Amino acid sequence: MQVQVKLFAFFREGRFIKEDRELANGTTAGEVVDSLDIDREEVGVLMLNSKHCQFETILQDGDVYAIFPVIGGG
Amino acid sequence: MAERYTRNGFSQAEQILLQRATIAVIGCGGLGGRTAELLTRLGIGSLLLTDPDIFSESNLNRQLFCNMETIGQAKTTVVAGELQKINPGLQISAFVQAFDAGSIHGADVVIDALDSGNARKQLATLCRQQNTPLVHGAVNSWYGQVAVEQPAAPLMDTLYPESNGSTTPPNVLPMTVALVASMQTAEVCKYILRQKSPLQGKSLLQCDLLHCQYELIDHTP
Repeated sequence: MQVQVKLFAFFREGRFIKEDRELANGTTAGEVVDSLDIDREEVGVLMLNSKHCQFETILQDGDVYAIFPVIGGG
Repeated sequence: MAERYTRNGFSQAEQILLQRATIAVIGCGGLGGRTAELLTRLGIGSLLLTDPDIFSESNLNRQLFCNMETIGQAKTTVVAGELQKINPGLQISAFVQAFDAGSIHGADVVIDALDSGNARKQLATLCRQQNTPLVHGAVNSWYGQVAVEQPAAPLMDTLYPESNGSTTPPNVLPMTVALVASMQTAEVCKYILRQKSPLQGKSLLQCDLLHCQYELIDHTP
């Protein structure tokens, strides 16, 4: 299946801003985070098709999946 | 209208709304110092400033009122003094302490200029208890975010999950701080002037200064 993955803020550095990725059926949101070598502790918000989702959420063909880091400085 | 406000371009009635407003600025470092200065120049009548810290050398890259003379001095005391030079008529309450319920009491709007997720969530809780909108801003390197949390639409718990316990100070670039502080001030201004904004409880603005991308993200659960 194909899922569009969007990264935000410093998650983009050394990776990409937006990319269509071929994933195995049953892939979870968390597994995509892991495959990108992103520390789950650094993740703030996960959104699937503009709705909040969890690491355990199973992705579907055609989904748009966005990963946002925690941004905390001031 | 006072000459100092003529170039704002607001009506007399609008300028009076700003003059009658009280804004609490929680954190007086990068974001807080700049928002406080912008709010003062805009014509806000009363500011409540809270920060327990003193200026240190690592603040020099981004904190407006940090310089070689103010290092070692309490941030709120320095900021209050500098704002009084801009407008002696400004009402300022400066608290050199960690924020609590009293820090935002009587405020029309609260500015989140803190630097940790847990503190931001605690401030959001206080704002909900006092039914006061919270204008959130945060920065990491080239990236920033801005949102307005309305008491009925909590956001901070979503942005800052419980599992995040990082204590490493993030990199914070001065131009990102200036941008986010300006956007926070604009949201305060629109709220006080009763102008609608996409950020009022509906969207999160993500700013990417490195790739010049600015996106409104709908955060409705």
